[in-house]
Amino acid sequence: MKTVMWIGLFVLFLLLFGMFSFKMQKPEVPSYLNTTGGDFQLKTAQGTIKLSDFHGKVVLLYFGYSHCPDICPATLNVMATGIRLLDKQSQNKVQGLFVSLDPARDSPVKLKAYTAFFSPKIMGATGAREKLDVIAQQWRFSYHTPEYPKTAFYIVQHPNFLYVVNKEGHLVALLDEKSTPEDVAKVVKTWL
Amino acid sequence: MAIKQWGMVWVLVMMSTGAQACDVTVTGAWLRLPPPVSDTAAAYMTLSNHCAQSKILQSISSPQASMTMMHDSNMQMMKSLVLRSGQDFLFHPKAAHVMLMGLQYPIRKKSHVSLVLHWQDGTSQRVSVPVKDMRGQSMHAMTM
Repeated sequence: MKTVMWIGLFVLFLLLFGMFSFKMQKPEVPSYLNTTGGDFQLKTAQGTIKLSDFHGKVVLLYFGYSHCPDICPATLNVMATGIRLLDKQSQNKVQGLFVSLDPARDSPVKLKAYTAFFSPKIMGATGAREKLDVIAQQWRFSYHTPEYPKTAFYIVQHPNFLYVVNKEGHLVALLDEKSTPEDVAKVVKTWL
Repeated sequence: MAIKQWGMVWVLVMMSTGAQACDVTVTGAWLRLPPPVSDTAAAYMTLSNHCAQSKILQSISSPQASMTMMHDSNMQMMKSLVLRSGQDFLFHPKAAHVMLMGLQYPIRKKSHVSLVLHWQDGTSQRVSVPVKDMRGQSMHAMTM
């Protein structure tokens, strides 16, 4: 009986040690990221969502707009392909989130169709300009959407990096526009 | 003027016209297939000026888009593009690109979109740009 107890304790020790070692393998988060981010609430075609609804999943967050000709579709493609490189179990622990900074032209229904083109794992969301302004402040980026555009074909200035949010909702990494699908898969695996 | 001399003048005029009308070659042109709900897309290509003189690209238009514009890597409109003799210019993803807005539906994969390059010397050049579906591409060159 005593032997069984010692074996049990030993196994428990190994498990704890393994978990500790795994935790230690996580890369250090740059200090400037610790003060960036925060929860927000936006509209999607499925209803209102909060970033905190995705606790337990790694979130890949990108801010853009659907009329963006070049970098948004390129980034969403890299995000989608990166997620596809993961095994099925890992894919279920990832959520892509595309936030449109152009609510005047991007309805939640349109965003749903737009993101579905790239991956069912990416959700489209947007909100009122005031709400987006607060998010921009929290997530430390600048953007410009013309308030009174002279033409229907206006451009929105937006950040071009991908935010990686861990399962607890904290920003842990930024991927720039040079990142590949392999980079996306690697960083997600690190934080799963 | 003798007939022989008129003939010489004609040959010189033809040679001169031929030199001015030389084309810039367009290679590797493609347009990223946009989602069906999007009426915006970007086209990419390499322009190579093999002419003896500079060529100035004033604008690009497309019969399939309400507005076509050249953008630099900062999404700023390029009012014109000067291609010096022997120079190449690359329109590439996440860099300078040709933006098409107000696309007529539907833009299908494996179809073609027409672009017309308008040069300052009054000539224009039509380019048939193949539409490529880039989804799922995992080649090392495919970056964000």
